[in-house]
Order: sequence, then structure tokens, then C-alpha cells
Amino acid sequence: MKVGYYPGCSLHKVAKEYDRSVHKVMEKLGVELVELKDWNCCGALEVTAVDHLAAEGIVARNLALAEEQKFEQLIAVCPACSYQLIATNYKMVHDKNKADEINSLLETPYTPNSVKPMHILELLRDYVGIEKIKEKIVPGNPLEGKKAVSYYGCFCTRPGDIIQFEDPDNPTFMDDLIEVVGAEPQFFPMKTKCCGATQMLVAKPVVETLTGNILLNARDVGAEFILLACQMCALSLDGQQKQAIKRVTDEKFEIPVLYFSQVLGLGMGLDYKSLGLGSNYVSPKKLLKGAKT
Amino acid sequence: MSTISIEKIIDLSTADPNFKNEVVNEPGGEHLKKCFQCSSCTLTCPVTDAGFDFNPRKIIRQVLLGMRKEVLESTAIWQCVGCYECTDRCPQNVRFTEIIEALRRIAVRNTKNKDKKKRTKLPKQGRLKHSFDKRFSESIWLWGRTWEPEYIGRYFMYGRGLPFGALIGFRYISMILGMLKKFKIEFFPPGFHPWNSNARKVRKIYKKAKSIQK
Ligand code: SF4
Ligand code: SF4
Repeated sequence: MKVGYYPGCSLHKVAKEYDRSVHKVMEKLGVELVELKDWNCCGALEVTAVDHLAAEGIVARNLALAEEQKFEQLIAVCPACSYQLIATNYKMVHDKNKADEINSLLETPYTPNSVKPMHILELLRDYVGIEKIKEKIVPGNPLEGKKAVSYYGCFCTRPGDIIQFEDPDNPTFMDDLIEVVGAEPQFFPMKTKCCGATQMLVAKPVVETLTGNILLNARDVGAEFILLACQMCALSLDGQQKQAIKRVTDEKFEIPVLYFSQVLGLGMGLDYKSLGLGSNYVSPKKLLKGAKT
Repeated sequence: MSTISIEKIIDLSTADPNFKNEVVNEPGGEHLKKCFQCSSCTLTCPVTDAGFDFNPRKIIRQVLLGMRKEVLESTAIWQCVGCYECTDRCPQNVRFTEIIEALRRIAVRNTKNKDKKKRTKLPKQGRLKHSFDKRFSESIWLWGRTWEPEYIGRYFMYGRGLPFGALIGFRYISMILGMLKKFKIEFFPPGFHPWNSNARKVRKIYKKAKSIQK
């Protein structure tokens, strides 16, 4: 299976371990990720705040490129990117005038719905399937029997009417992924609460409080590691973990934060290095005692 | 039992009844008038939850009442982290997250109002957030993609209102050091040129969008 791959700006460096592990895991699952040629930034949530029409234009350009390069599915690994791609496609499908307005900005127009943009989790669930993933898991991985929580954050499931992926209140697919590798998913009330990363460089106290509350809750339900699918969430939950915990409580604790792709990779018996586990801020060494290094 | 106190009596003689229409006309604000003040948004908002002075329901009420100056100059409209939880929960599909974006754009536009009396003065957090958004989109204008050290560097320098602000962004030092330690900062991005085809095409889109909206 061949799918279009939209890496987005942060995947090349800020979250290189995510990029690397996704590629390794998808290779194992027999999915070929072909990078979209000549892509540009999706604008995240920032460009809309300056000029909403230009923001829609630059997203639509990526969709038009995917159409031109004949991809049926365009997957993004960053939820903010996938949200932008999905939302712009959705708007263009449901509003003819809007579609014409956006297309007037582009050199090659985009035919709404000719590409299906989605987040990589959706590809795993609907096109690869949990059964196939299960086949590739080897017994005796270091995560077996460990307690874990899945953290979705915002854009994997929200806004529900546009993303149409999972129940925005209690999404469960990542819990299935935890089960597949033999770990135990825990009930996690803060599963879809936002970590606030968009305000990271503007209002640090807000981000730290939101993140701290999530971490505290994860510890309370007994999580030994957190599973997530967003490099921005990782930046706050993992990169800012110490400061965030300090802001909400006097206690000290540490929870390793892993990308879902790293967890699947461990389950498939891939080694430490090819999954980029050394690049996680909170070292997962203790958690992974006995893993191949 | 808790007591209800009236903090302040609202003086509506200076209110601008047209403000709500201005918001409805701004992209994203279309559904404003459907709000029936149930407060579901406020109850689900993580920023309110964390104890910050922020109340989505109240902002909508203020807009409907026409409290133009209070809303546009408030720090509150800059507090939202854009998580769409309120939008998801709202029984009336008001889409508050998009209303906030609309309000921010109106506030920024109004800083350049010709009538000096009506001009909006952005609060500090608003200036910072707007500056960040601006640097971000300029970075795409320049490279076709964002390049973190470049736009964040510029944000620290000008956005925080100080020369050599990069040195004064000390709150972020630990974060930056952490990223350096893990080799996560891209000093020389491969294949990035201002004359790349994606950068050139993005510039065209920006330009056209601007001319359409004039
Ligand atoms: S949830 Fe919707 S209807 Fe209720 S107060 Fe908020 S915006 Fe208004
Ligand atoms: S989008 Fe903004 S207002 Fe709505 S719940 Fe999230 S932080 Fe609160």
C-alpha cells in the first residue's frame, strides 16, 4: 500500500524520533510512505489568526499537490497538520463558494474530496487494521504487563464534527494499541484535555498548569508511561515535564512519554536506536530494562 | 451555601450595539447569536479549569451586549489555547474557538483604526501572541515552511519589546538547552531557500488573499 506522507515542519528536527519510528513501523506493516513533493507549511493555528483566507489557501495548495501527485490518502503525523488538511477539505466540500474562493488563490485548483487527508492513527485503524498489527508483535517485549495511559490531546479527535474519527470524549484506539503490545491501558479522565502547547512561548504559566494537571492525573491512575501521537503534546508533557510538575505540586515524580509508533516498534522487536528512544526528554531507560539497545 | 455577589454594574450607555454584527460578519463568528448562555463551554474549558481568569460564556455575553472596548482590550480573548473542547461540547454549535479567532483579528485590525479614540490598545499577552503569529506566518512567507530558530529568534527579539530579547527570554533557557542537548534545533535546514518553489508559491497565495480581502 502506497500513501502520501505530509511530514509537516516539526517532524524533521523537533520530533525526529517520531518521524523515524513512524517510518520504521510502517515499513514493517507494509505501508509505503511517499513524501509529498514540494509541500509547504500548513500554517498550524497561527496563520489563521493573521489572515484566515491565506491560511486556507496554503493548506489547499498541499491538497492540490496531493491530487496532482495522484495520492488517494494523504496522511499527516502531526495532528495540527492533519486537522488543517481535513478541515480545509471539509469546508471546500460543504461550501461551494468557499471552494471557489480558495481555488482562485491557487495555480492548480483542488477538486474537493479527491484526496482523503487523515491522521496516521486513522490509517492504522481503518486501512491497516489492528489484526495486522497484532501479527507483527513479537512476544517478550519490555512493555508487557506495564500500566499505561493514552493521551490524545485536541486535534486527533476534535472538533468531532469535522475530524469524524473517534468519539471525542473517550477515544479508544490508542488503548487498543497499548493492549496489542501487552501493556495494560488504564482509565484516564484527562485523555483529551489540552496541554496548551499553542501558547508555549506566550503564556508559559498557562501551559505549565494545564500540562501539570494532566501529568498529575496520569500518575494518580498509576501510569508507568504515557502514549501519545502529537509532537506538540510531547514537547509539553515530555520536554517541560519537570517545570510543569513543579508548578502544580510539591511532589516529585517522572513519567516517560512515548510516541505510539515507538511503542509499536518496541512491540515489534525493533531496537532502541532505530526508534530514536534516546531523543525522548524523560529517559525511558528504567522502563525498558532488558530491551535491545 | 455560596453567595452570589454582583461585581460590577454594567453601564450600557457606552455600549456599541453593532459590535455583535461586526463579529458575525467576521469569518468564524457566524454562529455567535445562537448562544443561549448555558455555560457548557466554560465548564469544559481547560483554561478556566486551571483557575485562570477566563470565561467563554461571559465573553459571548459581553459581545452580545456590545461591550466593544472591554472585550477587545481584555487579556481574556488571548488566553484561549484553541483546543476546540468548547466547540465540541456546545449544544448550539456556536463554535467559540473560531469566535475567539475572529475577535483577535478584529482587535488587531482595530489597533490601526484612524479614529484615535476608537483605537484598541492590545494587552501584553495579546501583543505577544499576535507577534508570535506574525513571525510564524512570515517564516512561511520566507521559506515555504517554518524554521524554528529563525522565527522564534525574531519573536524573542522584537516581539517581547526589547532589543536583545533573545537573551532575556531566560524563562525558556531550560527548554532551549534541553532541545540543544537532544540535537533538536535545526541550525541549517537542508533544502531551505527563499527561492524554493514552495516559498514562491506561498508568497503568491499570501498576496492574492490580501488583495481579495481589501
Ligand atoms: S456552550 Fe454554546 S450555547 Fe452554551 S454558553 Fe457556551 S457558546 Fe453559548
Ligand atoms: S478552545 Fe479555548 S475557550 Fe474553548 S475550551 Fe479550549 S481553551 Fe477554552
